Formats: sequence, structure tokens, C-alpha cells
Amino acid sequence: MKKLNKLNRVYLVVLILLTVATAIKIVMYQGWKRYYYGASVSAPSSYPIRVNRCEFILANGETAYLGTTQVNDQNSDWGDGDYSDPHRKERLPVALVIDYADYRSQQFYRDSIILPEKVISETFKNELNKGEEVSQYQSAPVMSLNFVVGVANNGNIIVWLRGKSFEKVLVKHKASIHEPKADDTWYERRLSRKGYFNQAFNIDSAQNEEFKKGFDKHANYIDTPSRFKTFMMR
Amino acid sequence: MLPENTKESLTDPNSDQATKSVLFIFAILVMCGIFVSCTYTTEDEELFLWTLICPVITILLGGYTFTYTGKAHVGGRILFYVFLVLSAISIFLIWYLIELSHAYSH
Repeated sequence: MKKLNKLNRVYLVVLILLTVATAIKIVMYQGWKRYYYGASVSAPSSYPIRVNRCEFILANGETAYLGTTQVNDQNSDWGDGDYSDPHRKERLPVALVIDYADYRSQQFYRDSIILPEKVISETFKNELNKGEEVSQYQSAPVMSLNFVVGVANNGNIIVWLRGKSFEKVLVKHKASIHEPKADDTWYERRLSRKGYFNQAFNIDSAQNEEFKKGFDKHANYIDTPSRFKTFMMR
Repeated sequence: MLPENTKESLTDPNSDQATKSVLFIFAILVMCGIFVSCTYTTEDEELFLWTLICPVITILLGGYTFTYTGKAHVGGRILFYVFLVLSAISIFLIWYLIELSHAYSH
């Protein structure tokens, strides 16, 4: 190699640094461990809940939020998915953090649930082809799987992983009760516990009457197959 | 006129190095593109990084301009001043956007 002058040596160093930085960026991103997936929370229509906080902790320490619009509007039924289509790849979740209020028992639950990493990554590796096809803006459609967190009565929580034609139970867990403090009862403003349950939930008097009469009282939703499995699996 | 110019650049001891410099500048710019686009970036991040491209070209050309002072390198010098103006504009625009965004803090 012929001798380079001072300027060209500086350029060479910059070029090498850029190449190294690019390599580091690619290795840190770990694209080969990333997948497209959706995630949302569901609850039985007879046991309405309001989710204050629900997020996945991902393998790289980042967090991802789960869809809660339907469940918070009391518009969900047992095992319904409410995920928005993923538009970027993410690392897989390793844990779930959930904090919610249960209307029927007037209790607040909060817990962190460890997810079975190995089962999840293996399912994504082997069964992604049975997933849902999601169209992308200005690029080819991708395959995606969906996580659904089912919040049953009595603080029971189940996590499903599903594609277009299969559903897997990842974990069942009983969440612990906690006493609400400060902003836990925030709905537009800070409310009392009773005020929170009256205002944050969109429940009419007829439904309330039914709840008082004990509608669905003996249901054990944690052991009930999801609506997806019963009606929608195709 | 043309042969005279060619002659001058041939006799210029710097001409070989200058060619290499141009190649290096192109290689660095291509590498910048790869660096930005090798992983997922949001639209905002991408826009921000691409506005930085003018200052980067200016700095690279600056080295070129102040190292090679012969008549054969007038083109590079003109380009340098053009990019100096462009990067001043893009830096001003970024600064303006950042200041403007303060209005939306609450």
C-alpha cells in the first residue's frame, strides 16, 4: 500500500471507526433474536377490570406496552385479542408487570410474572409460519404471533401465545392484592377508593344489578378455554 | 485550456493523494448511510441523522480544501463553501425546531 498523507490517514481512521461502530450497532441490536408480535389484555365481560399499568419486560431490558383499550372500556370478553399490528421487530418478553383494579371484588391487584423464555423463543422459532400475516407499510407482509394476557376473577392471570391456528398456555399465576395508594385511584383526578370504582368503570345500572344478584358467580375463568380457542381458531 | 489543466494536475505531486481523498470521502458517506440504516430507526431519528449529513460533508471537505491548495482543486473548494452554507442552514433549522418544541412542553 502506497503511503498516505496526513489527511488521508485521518479519513482512514474515521472510516475504520465508522465500520466498527456499525458492527457494534448490529451486534447490540441482535436482529436475529427479534420478532414481530402483538400483545394485549383481556377479561371476561362479567368480571370487568381496569388496567393501570401492564407491560412486558423484554430480554434487553426495554419495556413494551400491551393493548388495554378494549379491556379498560369494558368491551372485552374472555380471551379476546386487542393488539395493534406490529410494525417493528422487538426482543421477546421475559416478564410481565401488571397492576389492575377488579370491579366485582373491588380489589386492586399487582404482580410481576416471570414468563417461560424457552417455550416462547422455541414457539417463535418453530411455529411462526402458523402465525398471523400482518401487512406492512411499503414493504412485504410479515408473520406475527400474539400474546394475550387473560385476567380472570379472583386475581387469576393466564398468558396465552397464539397464532392463526394454535393457542398455547404459557403461564398461570395468582396475583397478589395490594392496598391502593395515592395515584392508584387516579381517574381524571385523585379519587377515593369507592369513587374510583364508581367513575373509572363504564358500567350501567342494569349490569350493576345483575352483578349484585351474583351473575356468573361460580365461574372459574382461569380454567375456561378462551373465546379464541372455542370460536375463532381457524 | 483542457490539456493545460490536465498537465498541471499531472505534475501536481498531490494529485494521487487528492484522488484517494475523494474516494475516502465517498466511502465514509456510504458507511454513514449503512450506519444509519443497518437497524430499525424511527422516522424522527432518521430525519435527524440525515440533517447531520451536511455538516459531516462540510467537515470532510474542509480537510480537503485546506490540504490541497492548487488550482486543480478549485472545484472542491467551491463545493466546500456551498456545503458550509447548507450546513449552516440545516443546523439553524434543527436549532429552530428544538427551540420550537419547547413551546409544547407542559
